[in-house]
Amino acid sequence: MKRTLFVSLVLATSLIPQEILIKNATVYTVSRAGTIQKGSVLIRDGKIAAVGKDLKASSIAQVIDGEGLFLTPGIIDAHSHLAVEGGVNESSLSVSSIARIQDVINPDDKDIYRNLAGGLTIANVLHGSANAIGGQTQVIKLRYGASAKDLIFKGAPTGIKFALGENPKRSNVTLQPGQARRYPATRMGVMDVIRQAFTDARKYQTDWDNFRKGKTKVAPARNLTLEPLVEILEGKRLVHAHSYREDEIVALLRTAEDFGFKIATLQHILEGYKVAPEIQKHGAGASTFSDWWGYKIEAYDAIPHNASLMTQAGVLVSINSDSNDEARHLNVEASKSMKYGNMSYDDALALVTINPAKQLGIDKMVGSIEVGKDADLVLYNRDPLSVYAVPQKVLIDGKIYFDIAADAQKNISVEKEKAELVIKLKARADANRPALTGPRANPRIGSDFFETFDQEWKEDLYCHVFSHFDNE
Amino acid sequence: MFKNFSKFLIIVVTFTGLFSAEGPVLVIRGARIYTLDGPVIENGMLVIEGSKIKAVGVNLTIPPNAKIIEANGYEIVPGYINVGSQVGITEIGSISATQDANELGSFLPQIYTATAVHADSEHVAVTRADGITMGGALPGVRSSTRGFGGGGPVISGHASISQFSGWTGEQLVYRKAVGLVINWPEVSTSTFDFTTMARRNRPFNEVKAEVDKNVAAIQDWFDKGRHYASLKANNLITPINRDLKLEGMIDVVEGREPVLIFADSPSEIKSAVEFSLKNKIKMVLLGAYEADKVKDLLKKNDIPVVLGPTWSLPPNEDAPYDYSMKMPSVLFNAGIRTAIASFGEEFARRLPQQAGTASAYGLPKEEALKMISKNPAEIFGLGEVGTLTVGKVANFVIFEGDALEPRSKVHAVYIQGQEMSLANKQNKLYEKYLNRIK
Repeated sequence: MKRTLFVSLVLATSLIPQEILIKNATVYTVSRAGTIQKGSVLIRDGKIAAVGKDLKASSIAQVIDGEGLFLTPGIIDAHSHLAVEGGVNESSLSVSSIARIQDVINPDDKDIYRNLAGGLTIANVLHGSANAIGGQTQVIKLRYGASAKDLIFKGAPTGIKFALGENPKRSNVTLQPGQARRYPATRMGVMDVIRQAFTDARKYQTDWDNFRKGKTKVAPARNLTLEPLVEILEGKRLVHAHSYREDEIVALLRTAEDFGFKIATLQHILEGYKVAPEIQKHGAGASTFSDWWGYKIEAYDAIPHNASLMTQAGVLVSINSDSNDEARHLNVEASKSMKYGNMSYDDALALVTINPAKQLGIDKMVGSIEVGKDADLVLYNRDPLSVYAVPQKVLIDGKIYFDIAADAQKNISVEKEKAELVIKLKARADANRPALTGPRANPRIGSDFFETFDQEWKEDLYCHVFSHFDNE
Repeated sequence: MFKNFSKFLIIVVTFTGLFSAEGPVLVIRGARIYTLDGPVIENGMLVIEGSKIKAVGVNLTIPPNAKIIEANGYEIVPGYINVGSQVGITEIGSISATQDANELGSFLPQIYTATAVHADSEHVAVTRADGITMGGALPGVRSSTRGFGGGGPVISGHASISQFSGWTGEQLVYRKAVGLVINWPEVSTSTFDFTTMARRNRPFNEVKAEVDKNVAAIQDWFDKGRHYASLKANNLITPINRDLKLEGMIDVVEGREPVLIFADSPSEIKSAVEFSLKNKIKMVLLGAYEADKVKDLLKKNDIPVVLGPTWSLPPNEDAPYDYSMKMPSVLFNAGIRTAIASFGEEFARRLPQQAGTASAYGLPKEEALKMISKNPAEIFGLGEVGTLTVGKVANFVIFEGDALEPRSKVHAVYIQGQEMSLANKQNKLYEKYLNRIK
C-alpha cells in the first residue's frame, strides 16, 4: 500500500498535461529575445509554443506561477560519464571505436535524478580517455524513470571520443607485475595512432566505394572499428577530443585537416587559451572546466580565464562537468567566467545552454527558450548564475521531472517506510531467533543482531531490496 | 616554534620590518561589513592601524593621514580560513615528486606538515587571490569520496596552519602542530583499487577484523604515548633514549593538542568519539560525511566538525539529493560547532563557494561566513583572527559584490594589515595570452 502511494506520487508529478503555462517569471531566453521580465512561456505537447508577456492559456492548461522565480533553458553538459554501467574505458586497445556507450546506459543510476535536481537536462555521455581513439558517445536526456532506450536523445548527431596526452600515454597508470606497457607512450605515438587509424579508414572507405561502384565483385569484410572513422571522414560523426596542451591541440587540428575532417569539440582543452586563434580558424568548439587545475602536469598551466579568453577569440565555448557532482552546479561554474575575464552575464549563461547545444549539433531543438524548441526548462528561486540559486522545477519535453516540493514529500515517505521496514526485519529476526542456550545457541541472531551492524548496513540492505522503487 | 603568536610577530618584524606597533592608518568605508562578532554593519567603516583592527562601525572619525579606500557596494569579511587547504604540501596531485602530504607507513606521530610547506607553491598566490588568507596542511588525508579508501596511514602526522604571507615556509607556518591526524579505520567492504582500476569486494568479517585490529593499534599508541610522557615527566628520557614517535604523542595524550579524526559513517564516528572520551583527549571530527545521524552524540560531547565539499554526492541511493548541501545547516541547527574545508589543494579557492552552497540550502549567510572564518579559528585555537573585532589581527577581504558569490571579484586581500598582491601564475598567463588575440 505504501508502495502504491509512492508510485502514484511519482506518477502525479510526471503526467503530461497538453499545455503548461509558466507565467510571471524572469525568462532568460538565451536568444535574441534576451531576458523578459514578468515573462511567460506556453508549452504545448512538450514543445515551446509561445514566449512573451501576458500569454493566455487555454482552460486545460496547467498554470505554474513563476512570480519571483527565474526560468532558463535546461542546462546541457557536453562532457559527462553519467549513467554508464561499469567502466567507461575499453582500455585494452588504443583504437576502441568499436565500443558504444549506448550499449551500457543504466537508467537506474540515481545520479541521473541528482543531476536533474541541479538543473541538468542533457548530457553528452562519453567513453573514457584511456585511448587515442575511444568509444562512441551518446547524448541523453535526463528523463529519469524512462528506459535506457528512452533516455537516448533521438535526433542528436552521433559522436566519438578521442584523447590526447597523459591518459592515452597511460602516464598515470600503475602497471601490474609482468604487464607490458601499451603503445603509444608519447604524444608522438598518440598522433601516429590517429594517423594510422585514418589511413586504414581511408582504405576501407575506398574499398567499399569501389565495391559499390562495381569496380570489385566481392564486398570487403565489414570492420566495425573502421566504420565510425569513415563516418568521421564523411562528416557524419562528431569528434570530441580530450586534450590539454597547446602542442597536442594544434597537432590534432593539423592531422584532422590533413585527412579532411573537422574536430567538433576539444574537451577539457585547458591550454586552449594559448592557441585560441588556431582553434577558431579550424572551427572547433571548446568545452572546458571552470577552474580545475594542477591535478596533473598537463593541467598545471590551466587558468580559470580560459573560457573568457577563448570566447574573446571567437571560439564557441562551453563549460562541462566530467563529474556527477560538478554537473549539479554547472550554472555556478559558468558564472566564474564573469569574475575571470569579464564575461557578460548572458554569455556566461550561454556557456551551459545554447553553446553546448551548438557543439553537440542539437541547437535546433534545445539550448534556448524559443518557439518550436523542446520545453527543457529550469525554474530557479534566485538569479540562475547565483550560488544561492536552487532549481525548484525541472522540465524535459514539457514534463516535470524534478519538483522540489514533491521531492521533499518523497523523502518523508521514504524515511517513514525505511523505519517501518527496520521494525519488521527486527521482528522477523526475533521470531526466528534460535535458542540462546544449548548446542545450537547463536547469540548473534536476534534483534540485537542488527545493533551489531551500523546504520549504513541497514541502509544498504534497504537499497538492495527496494532500490527499484524510485524508478517505477 | 610559532605556538605563540607574539613570537611569530617578533620574528617577522625582525626579518622583514613589515609590521610595527603604530603603523600607517587605513580606512575602508562605504561597505557592508560582516564582522561576525555582532550585527552586519551597512555603509560601515573599518579602520586598520598597523597590523591590527583599530575600529569598526559607522561614521567614525577618520584619523589624520589615513589612507582611504572607497568601497561603496562592496562587502568586507574576515580573511577566509580553509583548514584543509593542503596548500604548500601538494603541488601537482599526480606527480609524486611534488607531493609531500602522504608519507609511507601506518603510524606516524613523528611527522609534521610544518616541515614541508613550500612558500613558493603556486597554490599560495592562487588561493589567496580568492580571499583565503589562511590554510591548513593535513598529512595523509584519505580521499573524502567514500569507497575510494583503503591504504594510507592510520595515524598520519601533525597538521599545521599557514598564513598566506611570507618569504619562507617557516614564515608561512602560523601554527606548527594544530592536531594529530587520524584516519579512523573504515568499515568498507567495497573499495576502488587504483592498481587494477576495479572495485575490490571483501567479506564483512575480514574487514571488521582488520578495523578492530587497527583501532586496538591506535589505543596501543596512546597507551605507549602516555607511558612515555610519564617517563619524560620523571626526567627518565635522555638525549640517547629518546623515541621520536612517542615524543610526537605527548602533547596529544596530555590534551594540549587535539586529535583530528577523519570519520564518515555513523559507526566510525561513534567509535572515534568513544575512543576520544575514553582517552580524555580533545577531538575534532573531519570529513563527517554522515554526521547528521550522530548529531546528538556530537552535540552532547561538544565535538567540533570540519565538513568537506558541500556539493558532494549523497552517501547512498535513498539519501536526499541535497544531503551534503544541507549538512552545514543541519549541524548548525543542532548547535554543533562547524567549519567547512576543501580537503584538497586544487579546489582550496572554492571555499566561499562551498559556504555559499550551504547558504543556498538553508544556512543563514552570516553562519555560512562563520563556517569559513570564525568557526575554524575558534576550533583551531586561532583566537586573534576569524572576526573583524577591534584589537584582532587585520586579516580581511574586500569583495566587489556578495562575499560568497563565485562571480564576485576580489578587490583586495589584507593579511596582518598589509595589502597582498593578487598576481599569480594564472592571471599572469591570462594577461600574456590576452596579448596574442588583441
